[in-house]
Amino acid sequence: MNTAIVIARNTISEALRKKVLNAFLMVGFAMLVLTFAFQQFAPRQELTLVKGMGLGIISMAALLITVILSINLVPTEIERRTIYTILSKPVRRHEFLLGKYFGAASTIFINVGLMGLAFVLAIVLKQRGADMGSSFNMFKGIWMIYCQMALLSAVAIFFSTFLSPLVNFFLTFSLFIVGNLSSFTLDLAKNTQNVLAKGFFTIVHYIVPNFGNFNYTNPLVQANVQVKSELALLTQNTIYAVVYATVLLIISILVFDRREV
Amino acid sequence: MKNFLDAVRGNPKLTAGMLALLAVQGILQSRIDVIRKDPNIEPPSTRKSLGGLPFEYALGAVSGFRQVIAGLLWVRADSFFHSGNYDAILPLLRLITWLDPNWLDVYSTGAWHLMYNFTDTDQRSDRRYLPVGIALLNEGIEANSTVFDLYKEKGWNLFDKVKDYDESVKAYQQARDNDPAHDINMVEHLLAHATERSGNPEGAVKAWEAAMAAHKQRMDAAKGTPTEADAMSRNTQGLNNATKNRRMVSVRGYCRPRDIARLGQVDTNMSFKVTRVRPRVLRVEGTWNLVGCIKDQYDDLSFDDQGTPKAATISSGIVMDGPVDGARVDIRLQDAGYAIPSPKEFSFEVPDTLTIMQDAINSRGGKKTLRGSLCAINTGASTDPNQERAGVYSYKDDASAPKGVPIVKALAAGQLSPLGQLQLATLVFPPSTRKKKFYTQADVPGIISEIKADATKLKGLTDRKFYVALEDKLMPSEFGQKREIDMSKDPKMYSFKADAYDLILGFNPRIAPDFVQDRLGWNGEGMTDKRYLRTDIKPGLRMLSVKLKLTRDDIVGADTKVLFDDSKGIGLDKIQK
Amino acid sequence: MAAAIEIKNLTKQYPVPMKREVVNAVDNLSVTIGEGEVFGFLGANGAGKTTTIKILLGLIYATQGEAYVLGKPAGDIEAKHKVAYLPESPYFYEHMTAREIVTFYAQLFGMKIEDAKKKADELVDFVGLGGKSDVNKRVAEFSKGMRQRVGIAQSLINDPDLLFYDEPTSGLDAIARRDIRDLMLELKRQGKTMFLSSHQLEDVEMVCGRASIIHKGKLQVIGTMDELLGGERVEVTVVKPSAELTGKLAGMESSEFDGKLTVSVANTDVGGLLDAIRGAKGDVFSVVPKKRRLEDIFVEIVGERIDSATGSLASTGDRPLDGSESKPTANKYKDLMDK
Repeated sequence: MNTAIVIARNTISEALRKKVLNAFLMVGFAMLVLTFAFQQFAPRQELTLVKGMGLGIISMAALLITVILSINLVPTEIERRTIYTILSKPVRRHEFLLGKYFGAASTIFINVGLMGLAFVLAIVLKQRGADMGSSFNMFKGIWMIYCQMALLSAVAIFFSTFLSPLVNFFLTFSLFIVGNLSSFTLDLAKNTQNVLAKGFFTIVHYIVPNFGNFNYTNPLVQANVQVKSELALLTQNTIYAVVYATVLLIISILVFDRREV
Repeated sequence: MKNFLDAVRGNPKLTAGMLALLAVQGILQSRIDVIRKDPNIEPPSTRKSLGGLPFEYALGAVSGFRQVIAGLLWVRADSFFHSGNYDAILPLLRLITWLDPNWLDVYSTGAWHLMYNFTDTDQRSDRRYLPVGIALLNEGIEANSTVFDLYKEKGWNLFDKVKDYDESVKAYQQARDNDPAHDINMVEHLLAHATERSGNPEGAVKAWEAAMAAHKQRMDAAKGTPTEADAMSRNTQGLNNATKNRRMVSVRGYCRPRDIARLGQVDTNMSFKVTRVRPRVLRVEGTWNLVGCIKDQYDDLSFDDQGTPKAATISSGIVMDGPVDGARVDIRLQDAGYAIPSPKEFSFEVPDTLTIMQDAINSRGGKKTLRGSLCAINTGASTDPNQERAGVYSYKDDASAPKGVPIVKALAAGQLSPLGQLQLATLVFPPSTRKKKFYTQADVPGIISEIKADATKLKGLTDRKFYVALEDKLMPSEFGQKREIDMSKDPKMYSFKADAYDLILGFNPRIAPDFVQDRLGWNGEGMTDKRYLRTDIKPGLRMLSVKLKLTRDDIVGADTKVLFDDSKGIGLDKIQK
Repeated sequence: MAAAIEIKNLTKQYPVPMKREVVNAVDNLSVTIGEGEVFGFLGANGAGKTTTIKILLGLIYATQGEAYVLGKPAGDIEAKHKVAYLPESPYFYEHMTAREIVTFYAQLFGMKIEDAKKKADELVDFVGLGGKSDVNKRVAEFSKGMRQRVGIAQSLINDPDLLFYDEPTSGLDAIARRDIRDLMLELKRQGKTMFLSSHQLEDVEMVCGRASIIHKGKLQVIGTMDELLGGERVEVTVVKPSAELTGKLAGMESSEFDGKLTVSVANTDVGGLLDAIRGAKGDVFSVVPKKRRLEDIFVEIVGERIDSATGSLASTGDRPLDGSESKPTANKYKDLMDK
């Protein structure tokens, strides 16, 4: 397992130097600054806009960073043949894969965390320290974005064990969108009369990673919205991300275990 | 695939663990589904918006960027607002409130646009949008029923724009009852005001008392907590205002019935004339006695803090009544039989064949001077504020003024009535110069002697043509003489597609300013009218109202035509019962 | 002598894209390499060299056959502790320095970070990248030869018993190539077992004790350098040979040109040959000693030579083939393989 950590650390240090990813991070920061341009609105409206837009921008930047990072991790190692030097050392394949995943998850954490910190700091400054509670509430949303992205990264890495980055890119994005339609698929499963369709949508709902679970912006942005089971939702979503990411990693390990590199 | 199956076969425990976890996530998913049913997390209305959104927006909205899309649309709506493109805002309002049904500001701003910002060329609101605005608020209330904000917003729009105080009271009560954390100043104070306006002073007193209790309770609850300072500053001012207002309503409750009983009912004697000036241009003009309180002695000293009189009988109340400016005659022209609908769901489509025009016409120019009291002959342009305070009417020339003598002469001849003396004292030495709120009859003789001895002041009064009337003179207020109601410039708003129209003309004392209500009462108890008094429109309300039935041709016809004139008996058959 | 590598009847098939066919990248290959041997694995690009190495390292899997490395099945994690691999032109982490890269790989052996750093310093010095000008450079700024030195450094972390070097000198300029060759000779001197895959025949000739030639996945020849190069040979040319003489010499390696018959024999057989010619009253035109090279053997077997720059097979041009009848598969060296 130490080996996985060594690989994870190496992955982070490499990822943090990637120009593409840093560009997205910078764009994210720039957009966050731009969200503060809604001066023409009344303060409360402005705050709503800034919060909603800010979480959205973090989410969007995180999405691009996650996908671009994760789909390339394994193929890049193969392409430049470093995977041969690594796997010819006493490194088990699952250690390599876990190292790559933990590296990706940590990189995403750092990126999302940095944007999140900057964002919350900006709101606190904007509010001049008033209503710190609702400003810090943003971290709940940022955590949900992180959980969503950590799961998405597992999806992309899973695909990367047998697909080319280009196919993976589209597939991961498509799965992200399908996974976001969870409430639709649930309804379709419930409402359709056709047994086949019912089965299909039920499977889609319960088997496709449900990225829609993590969309939790509205209750954080609108001060008047109180969600009673917030803690339960945040906890269960976190566990869900961990459990599903584990499932994906195990399948990835099984695929990768006998893969010819 | 073969390699994968080999790996599965080679790692049975790992595979079993994976399958177990897959089952676990399915169970977790079903539990998360239950929590996410909360419409606060995922509003079902989002889906309705998808059809109206461009593809990439719809995709964003379902991929976790719902709030971003709503925000972008709102920024756009704002830019439309600044460019005056109100029509473009409405579909956006529809989409945004579907996307984020919890965005209170969108409902309140949207309702404001709908109810205030759609106007014709003469800045008359498009009344077709009032029910739409209320519907938007109702929809918002349904989605946000546990917060006071939108009830409050609805209450205010009903109070200020629709002027339906009964409904306003209901909305404010809901704001108060559904959200324990409601803003007392915004909710309970307005509830009390609306209650008073709905003709229920007793209810208003109770509402103020409830507000006072609520303020105290908030302050007690905050004691020793970090929010204490904040709660104190918010509630102290609110409590002061509530206390003052409660006292005011109590004092009015004591004075108004007594004054009306003492002074009798005012015969408003309304008379009016409706002329079609050009096609789609009407003039509605007339005269009436709009009588209010000119001078009062709402003697604060005679009442305690609760507004209860300190003695059995108190001389506070109206000292002088007479025609006032400031109340308006309401005119409404609409498709015959139109009643304000109450749509369940907000839709920005208004029937484009429907015509509603509502306007309010100022009344002015009424004058009343009694024998022995003061009057002035001037254009009124340089009116001295003290003259208004003294209740002295100006006439434009000798011919229109009552017969009278200059003040110096009248003083010498003792022709000033007690009212005239009080007026003179107030005019020359306003009570504030003597550190008084008003003069009583006891103060007057001393001041009059002072004036008599002051040659400079006397000369000033003579120069400014102040007279003492030797006869009573009453001139009614006039309205609408110089006002054309032009509906020809906004054919979209005033389509005149219907064949028959109701022209409703009226005066509702509940809408009237305080100084008119002081004389006419909250519910018109102090007024009567031989032609147009109606007591059957709202229970307990005496108001002036008349409904004329007009044909399309009456409105769009080519030549100038008098449609109605009660003084000449024209068009009396148009009056509907 | 214990076997460091044992390959038995190894076959690796790949499906041909878009066709229902397979191609044998490695075809029934059997080789045994002893400890301490420096073994050359010769072949043009696509001959199956890298495929064989990948199978031995467990990166890909054989379709048939067996392969053992240091006594363990190919890919065994235990064996990897004592094995090193330098792939063909690897691109290391561009943003790192040589030292950081070696440190990273050292940690993969479970070394603590301090030990890994110490080891890295040592190895970076050993491969000649410890100079002031290089030590802080990122790999992105390295020349191909320098990168290859990094590769060698990372291959020495675990003081391996067995080294797999895949085309270590390909694409290098003459000086870099000589330096890398010197490094390999130094490793040979240290007694490492090396499996050197290359199309650079010269390198193999200089470094290896034993070598094999692989073509189209099949082993063509294997033997010690002495066996392969066969010591000195002598070419004896006879003018206008009689029919009797030609008949006598039939079956020997010979060629006829412009009425002259040239026969090539090992120098130990020259006396016998000359006696036979004289016996047939033949007229000896010349007796010339010849030294053979691996290249000659390659050409003899494959029928083409390797372009040393690209590693691909190239036409032999005007170089006379060793008898138009001779097919690469008609293997004259079969006797060597049977040993």
